[in-house]
Amino acid sequence: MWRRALLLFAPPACVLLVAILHQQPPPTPVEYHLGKIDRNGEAMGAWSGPWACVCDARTGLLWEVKTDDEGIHHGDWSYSWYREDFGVPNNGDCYFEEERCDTRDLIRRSNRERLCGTDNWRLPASAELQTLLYPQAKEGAPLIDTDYFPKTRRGDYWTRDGEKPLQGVYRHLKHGAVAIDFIAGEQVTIPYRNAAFVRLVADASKACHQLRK
Amino acid sequence: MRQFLGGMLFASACLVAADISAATKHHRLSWDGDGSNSAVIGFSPDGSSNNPTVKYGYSTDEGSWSSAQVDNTETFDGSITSHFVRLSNLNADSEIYFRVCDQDGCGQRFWFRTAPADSDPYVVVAGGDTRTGHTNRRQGNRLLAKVRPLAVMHGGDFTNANSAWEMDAFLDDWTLTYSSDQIDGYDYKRIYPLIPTHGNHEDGNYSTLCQVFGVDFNDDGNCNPHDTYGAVQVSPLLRIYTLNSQFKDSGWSSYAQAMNNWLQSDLSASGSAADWRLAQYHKPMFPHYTGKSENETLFGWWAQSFYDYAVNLVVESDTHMTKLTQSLIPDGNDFAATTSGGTVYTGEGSWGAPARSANDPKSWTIDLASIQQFKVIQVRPDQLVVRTAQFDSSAATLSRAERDADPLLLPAGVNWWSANQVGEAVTITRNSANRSVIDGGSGNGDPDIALAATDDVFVSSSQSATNLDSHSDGLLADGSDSTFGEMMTLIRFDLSELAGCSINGASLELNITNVSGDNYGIYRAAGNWREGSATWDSVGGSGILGGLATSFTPSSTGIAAIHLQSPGLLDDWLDGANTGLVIASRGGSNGVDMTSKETGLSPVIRVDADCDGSGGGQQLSRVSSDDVFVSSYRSGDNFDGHSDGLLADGWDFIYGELYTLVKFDLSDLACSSYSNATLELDITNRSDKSYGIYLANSDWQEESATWNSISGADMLGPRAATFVPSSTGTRQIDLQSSGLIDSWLAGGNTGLVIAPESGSDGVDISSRETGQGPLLKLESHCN
Repeated sequence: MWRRALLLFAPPACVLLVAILHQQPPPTPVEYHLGKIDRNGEAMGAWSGPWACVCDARTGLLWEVKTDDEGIHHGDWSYSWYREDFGVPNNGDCYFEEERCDTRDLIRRSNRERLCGTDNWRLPASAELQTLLYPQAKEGAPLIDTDYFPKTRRGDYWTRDGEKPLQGVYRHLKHGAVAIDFIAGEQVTIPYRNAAFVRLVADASKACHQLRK
Repeated sequence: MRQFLGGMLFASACLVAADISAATKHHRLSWDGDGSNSAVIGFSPDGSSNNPTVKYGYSTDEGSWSSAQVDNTETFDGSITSHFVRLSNLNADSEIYFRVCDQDGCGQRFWFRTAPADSDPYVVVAGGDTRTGHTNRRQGNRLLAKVRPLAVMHGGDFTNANSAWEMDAFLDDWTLTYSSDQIDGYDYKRIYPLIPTHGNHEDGNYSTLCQVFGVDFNDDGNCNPHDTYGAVQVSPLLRIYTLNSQFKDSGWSSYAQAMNNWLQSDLSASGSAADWRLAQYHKPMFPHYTGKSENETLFGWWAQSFYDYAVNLVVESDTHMTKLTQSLIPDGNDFAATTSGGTVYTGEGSWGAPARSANDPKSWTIDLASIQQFKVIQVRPDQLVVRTAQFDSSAATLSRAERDADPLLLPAGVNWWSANQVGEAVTITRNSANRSVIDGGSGNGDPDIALAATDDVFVSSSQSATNLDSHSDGLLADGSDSTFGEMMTLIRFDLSELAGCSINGASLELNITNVSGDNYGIYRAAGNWREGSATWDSVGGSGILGGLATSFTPSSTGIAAIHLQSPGLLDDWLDGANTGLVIASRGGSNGVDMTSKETGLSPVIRVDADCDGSGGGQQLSRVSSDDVFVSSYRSGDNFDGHSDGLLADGWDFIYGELYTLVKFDLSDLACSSYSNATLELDITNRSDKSYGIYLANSDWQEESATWNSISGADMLGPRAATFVPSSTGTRQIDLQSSGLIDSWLAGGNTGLVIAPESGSDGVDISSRETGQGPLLKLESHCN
């Protein structure tokens, strides 16, 4: 009796035991290089919100996230390019300044509020901003990962790269700055007086450092 | 006694309060038919307003007024009730006074003006996109009140969500467009007729225009989407077409077909009823922002009709920036610029809505910029003059009397946008087919030749023997002045650069610093003269006035571009009789002031000339694009625009060693071989020391160059010339003999450095900011 039972149950039990012993470990989710940071500089889960900044683990850069609240970081605000008495002040449109707006205004305000726990916000270099280009974006959407960077507009975003010669109809203005066009992903040189969008960047941020660890 | 006075004041206050008491608000006025004899008055209840009526008349005597009943009431977004009273059979060119009255009495006193029935000139304003940006929107509205136009064209996107709440805020802000007047002891508000356009932010309700502004373009008594297009005959000078670009969207094809059939029919039947035809619609055919798609459908619908029926100026909106095009002709699926007559397009709607990057210029774009603005258009029988007013508080306010005295007058201090190559004012004339030609526009994108005055001076009948060259008042002209009596301004240009060229046209640019409502003639000078010796007596007083080239009214400050209509004027000058021009009053004693070459911007003649193919060398000249000096003692400082101009010295007590840097924009030169190159400097402080002119070793910019940034003497490249600036005045220095110039011009043109050879006796030179800037004259031989 017990022999018959052994013959009946032993093989499946062995198979089961072997299967258990050889089970593949659960797949480890691939870490996405972008991570959400709240306005105080604390890292957040991928499905959490609201978030105010995004850390890019590949570059170590902390990026401003645009909003739809008509606050300082509203995505529709545009800015002329102005840096330390150089460029054209107050030729863009935001609603948080008495005068019209320029890039220096956004930097000053962001540093003053210590957005995401840091006060070293600045305009990105062209190469830095180009790291956000996202060729997989849906057709008609701006070329950026809008899951992490919502309220991004189809248009030009300023870089810090100024004193570039202007061409064509702009030539009489002599010099402008480089912007990255998030429609086609191209680098364009436009006059300082243009009202373009801005996404600020900070490096050596504590928030990004923590996330990368 | 004090109590009695107090009681009187209280009673007066009560009477005033009782005097303005109707329960209505948000008064608005619109035109949808004939601006010379009709208008629609709109208003909304402010609480409970029963059976409101409009009382109106041609004077402030309310006893003589008529009464008009509400003939249409509409409700917008379920909650904004608007009553509309259509006034018809009004007298042309008349002031209409009115009040809205109801059970509480009569409200605020308003007045407006009907359009003239003849060819009298006037000003209209055109803009769009008031949907957001309330601060800018309000600034624009206040500016409108200062300008006092006859009418306003609005290109759509009144609000963002087209909700009752937002429209209420728009109408609140629109009250800022009223101008305040005291008339016969009463407080009146001047109200301006609006011609509204449907924008994409009105797409939720295609009856917005008739529900909010009461327009009934097709005069059928119904409020529906057909009231989003139509024509307003302002006067014999102007017919304005309003179109609905949103009919391009799917679902509206039958409306689109009806609109386009109507447009074709109206242009054919009534387009010629006015000297000028303007059009407005919301979406540009070719937006000047890469974030917006091109609207080929609109181009296909309208561009050819606009050209065929000589629509002169089109005002587009939507993109939130300013743009100005050449005169355009349809060319396949695009436009091409033309100098022989076409349609000028402008826009693109930034009356509050956030400015966008003006980043998509076309081959036919004159200029574009991200600014908050509307257009201010002077409509004259022979010209449209288009300016772009930027929104700020700098403008003065025109009074009612000033507007009455001059229908074209513009307020002083407006922050006009200056378009490249054109300046602040774009003057449009008509060709024989009534199509638009931009004065001074080259069409092919080639810049005109601009020549600064070589001689300019004014003469005075009261100081008839006195030479007034370099007078601190600049250049003056007047029919009668208590100090100077009658005054005339004399201007002359060196035209040698135009030798061998074919002259197509020319305009004179004057920098007006003190406006006048008087008319001034620009005459050929009948005799020869020199600025250093000309007096009223020496030129023979009014005997200097030759043939009249044209006339103008200097009604606004800034650069006035005046087309010189006298045929053959420059050809005659080139043939040897170049005696210059005289500006003289044609009546009146309201003088005009202009800057001279010594006090600011020099008078300039801008010549449209074809100079290619000349047998000999082609002569060119370029004013410096960058000029600045650098100092070894203040090695980190930038001196761009310094009041001392340009300095060079071996040693100076304050500045140490000084170099002057000069650069010219030669990027449009197609030639590679030059037979002559001369640097012309205006020496203002002489020196007996020798100075070298060196090719700069590396690039620099005037706004950032310092002694440190150019690394001092490391900037000195090969020496092209030396000179001793031993006298003040214009000094010409040959650069060609060095043999260095061809390679310099063909290669990296990093400019010139003027540096001391020895000694410490400095030289001062005019910069382009302080006077006659350095000039590079070239003679080229091109294949």
